[in-house]
Amino acid sequence: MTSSAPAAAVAVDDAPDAPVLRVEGLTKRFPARRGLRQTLVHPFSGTTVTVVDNVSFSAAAGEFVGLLGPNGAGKTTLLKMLSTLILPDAGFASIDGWDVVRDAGVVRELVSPCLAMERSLYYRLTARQNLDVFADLQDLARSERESRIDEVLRAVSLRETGAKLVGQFSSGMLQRLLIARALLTRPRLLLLDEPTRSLDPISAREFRLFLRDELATQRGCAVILATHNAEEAFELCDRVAILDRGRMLASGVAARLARDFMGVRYRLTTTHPDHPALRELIAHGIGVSSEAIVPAGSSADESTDEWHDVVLRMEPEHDPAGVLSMLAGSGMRIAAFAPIRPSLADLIEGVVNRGSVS
Amino acid sequence: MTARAVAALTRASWYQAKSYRLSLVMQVFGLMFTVIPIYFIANALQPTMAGSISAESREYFSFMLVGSIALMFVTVGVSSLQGTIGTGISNGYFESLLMTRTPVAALLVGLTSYPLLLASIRASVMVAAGWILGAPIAWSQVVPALLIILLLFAVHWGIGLVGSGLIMAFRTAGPLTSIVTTISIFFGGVYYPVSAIPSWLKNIADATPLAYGLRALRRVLLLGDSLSAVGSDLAILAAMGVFTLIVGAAAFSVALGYAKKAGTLSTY
Repeated sequence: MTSSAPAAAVAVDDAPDAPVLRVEGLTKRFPARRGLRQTLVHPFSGTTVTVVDNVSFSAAAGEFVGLLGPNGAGKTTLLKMLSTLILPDAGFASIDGWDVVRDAGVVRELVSPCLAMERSLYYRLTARQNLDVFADLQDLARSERESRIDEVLRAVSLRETGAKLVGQFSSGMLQRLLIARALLTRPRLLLLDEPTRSLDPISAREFRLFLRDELATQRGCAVILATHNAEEAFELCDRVAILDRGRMLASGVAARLARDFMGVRYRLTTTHPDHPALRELIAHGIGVSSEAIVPAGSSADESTDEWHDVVLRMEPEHDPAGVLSMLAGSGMRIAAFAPIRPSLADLIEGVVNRGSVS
Repeated sequence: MTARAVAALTRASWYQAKSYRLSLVMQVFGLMFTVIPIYFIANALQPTMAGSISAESREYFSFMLVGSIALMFVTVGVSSLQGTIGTGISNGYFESLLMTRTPVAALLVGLTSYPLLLASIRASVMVAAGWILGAPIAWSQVVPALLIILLLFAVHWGIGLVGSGLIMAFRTAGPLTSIVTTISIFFGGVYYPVSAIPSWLKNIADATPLAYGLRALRRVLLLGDSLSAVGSDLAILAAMGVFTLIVGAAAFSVALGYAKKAGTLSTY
């Protein structure tokens, strides 16, 4: 059995007091694929690969928790364990106190997963017929079925195309229909696996607003969202958990994680990209983007007519206002000085690299 | 809820089937072209077969016709669920069903109900065509005949559950379907009576559910016998049904647990 030692995740903020979802030490190992020869020679000595390793987190009512991480980090497996589709090997997960293994039947009434399964739709049926079938499978009351189908079709902007065959849908429309299918019930916990990956920017924004306004705010539904989208991670999610090779490396508010793991970056727009004051900043431990540093011996204090962007990376102990004051006082012409929101890739890379080192 | 779920899955399959209009029409009315060759072959063999089939039918055409119908239900019982689950695993459909509130048993019944319904319609068309061509059908015994067919189907659905479990766990049911179908054809009395099987092969026939079901079905539907007259065959068939359903349900349950553990529900 191959298993990496679980690293302690960095928690940047506190877990909720009364969580809808509670995950503690959840672990999943899958049998590793073996060649035919190995299988024949050693039929009973199979190895395993740990895909989710001792993961713990929680989510409160109305809270959005983002799962971030590179491909193969274990996000989908984690969602499938919470959907009762995969049995964990160790650890515990509960929804409103119901165990996902022992009380799987009850859990399925509380959870609504929307995993990347476009082909699971009935392509020869209309969108409305698809939802109609699943409304019955989800035991939706007959009295509210039609209005609920209308409601979810409207929520994902498919109301006008409800009578169209699903086989004629674009990939974005298929994804919206999957989301509509997941919203049919009124879940306590919604599990979304990259829900906006095929949506156009406007639909994605509308969908995020719908999630925030209707599901979280009005109904208090907790949402677990596996995403590669920066807007979702930074603006929609209350907290994010960063996974790599099954291990949860960090959790907390995305912006705070970015600050703690990567420092804070500022964009300085100036006509003096090679001003000596910038080198002075380096001496104080502030990172300056390399293209702005002038090699020794070159003309240093020369102003140009063009505006240049210089990136300054500061640690939490640095005072941005003080830095700006110092630069302005040194005679630099400055047009703008503003914090840069880190990209999701930078955040994940930063956390993963830190995790690999530790 | 269970009935609603079964109805919903049946409805979905029906919508899909009727969207392929020509295929649907051919599936049902194309059977006319199956019945006619049986009619001519059976008539040609009538003088040879008349004596050996007399306990089950007065003439060979209806004997073969009912045999073909029963074999169709055997095939649907064994293979339909396996096929649906195999496809459902590869496209994620089966997982999406398992995530709903519907109990697994209801899902399995729902996934089988349309193939069973279609087989029933096809059987009705074959019986009607056979009747038009002169097959003596005891119409008063249609309901008892349906009960026998349902029992026969249930026995083989249990075997289908085992096959579905194998597909979930190992992605293949191996030769299960072909073994059951082949044994049913050769030892179930589809095209010749079981009495014609050599004595040293009789043990296999004795263990073949179709042999009991088909004998009972022919006697009821073609000779007009009552259910009590075929009681001993039905009792054995029912016992086989209980056995295969219990074994099938257990095998499916174990396989589902294994697939959830190994994570193979969505990887084909």
